[in-house]
Amino acid sequence: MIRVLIVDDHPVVREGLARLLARAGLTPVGEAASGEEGIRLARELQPDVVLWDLAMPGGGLPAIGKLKTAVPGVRVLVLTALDDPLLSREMARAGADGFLGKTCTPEELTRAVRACAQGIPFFPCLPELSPREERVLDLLAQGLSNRAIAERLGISVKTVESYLENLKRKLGCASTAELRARALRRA
Amino acid sequence: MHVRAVVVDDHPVVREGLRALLSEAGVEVVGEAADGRAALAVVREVRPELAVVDVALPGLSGIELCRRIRRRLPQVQVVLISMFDEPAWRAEAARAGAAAYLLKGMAPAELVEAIDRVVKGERLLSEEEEADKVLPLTPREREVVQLIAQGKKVSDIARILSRSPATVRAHKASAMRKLSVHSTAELVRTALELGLVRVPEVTGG
Repeated sequence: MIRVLIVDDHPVVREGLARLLARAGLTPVGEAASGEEGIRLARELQPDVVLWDLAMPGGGLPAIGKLKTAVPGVRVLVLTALDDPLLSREMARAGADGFLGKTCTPEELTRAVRACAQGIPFFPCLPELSPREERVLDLLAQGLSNRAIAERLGISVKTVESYLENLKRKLGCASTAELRARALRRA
Repeated sequence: MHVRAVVVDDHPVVREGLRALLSEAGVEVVGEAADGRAALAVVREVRPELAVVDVALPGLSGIELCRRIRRRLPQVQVVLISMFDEPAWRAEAARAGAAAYLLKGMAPAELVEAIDRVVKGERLLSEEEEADKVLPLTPREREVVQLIAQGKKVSDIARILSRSPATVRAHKASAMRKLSVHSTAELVRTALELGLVRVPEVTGG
């Protein structure tokens, strides 16, 4: 039996999740409407998996870290209305065990919960970036220009540009401006 | 009365939750869609009494979908659902012919009650009320603008409202300031666009 705690500030979403989980043979054990309430209830109920809405009050990435500390061993599957793959990396760093957009199908949701319950990371949108690409992205997120990035890494501007092309392709950005904007936003 | 509904939201989780809430209001969900174009096809096919539509849809917006449903299939009531309580969106929803504008954050009991009322024929959105919240014209200002939209001169309006021409001009000037317009023509056009006044009836002859 996989016990799941649902944490989301929209009652209609909580209702939908509870029904979908139950239908899939999973066991919803409780509901909370904020990060704070979620952490409190998780301590009390000791669920296997917590479904965690990113956009709710108190739902930000730091709160995920708090939850993992408060309930050792709990798996956190982050749900969000935003589908940005860049966010995925941040979530993994913040301690999330999985990430799913709310446009996911009931089957995907079930698969994600079961994977997380077994300790298998579920990040379907996590782009494969090389360490250098990660570094370039971090510097972009700090607002550095191509030239500044080149200087910082001791490479040519042309090389930086080719890294940017790769990043745009992997992250599905239509332009360098979009890549920059998305990097800045999540910083 | 057996009420059938179509649910439109790009989040399957939300569609599932709405299905549960609607059934509590005695409404059966007979169709679903994840975007506006698919929704139009489904609504045309199943001819429900009610469509519950998320404001934020990919492609065709929820409000535009509402507008199209209300225009082509006026027997279908549309309830819009949103994450945000934005006065400007409520006003747009009212103009698009929605029967209600509900929030995803509302308690289930509230949502069920609102849907129940819509199903019984009540309209929970009023164009004028919503328009006033966005740009509050006083009732007097609205009266004056309405009469101007009907082609009346200041002297006529003064007589109709039993006010002095100076007062009428003051109300008109105040309305123009609030709406940021600089001519009478603009005033009428803007007021009509915002749903602050009704299109004057054209009587025969």
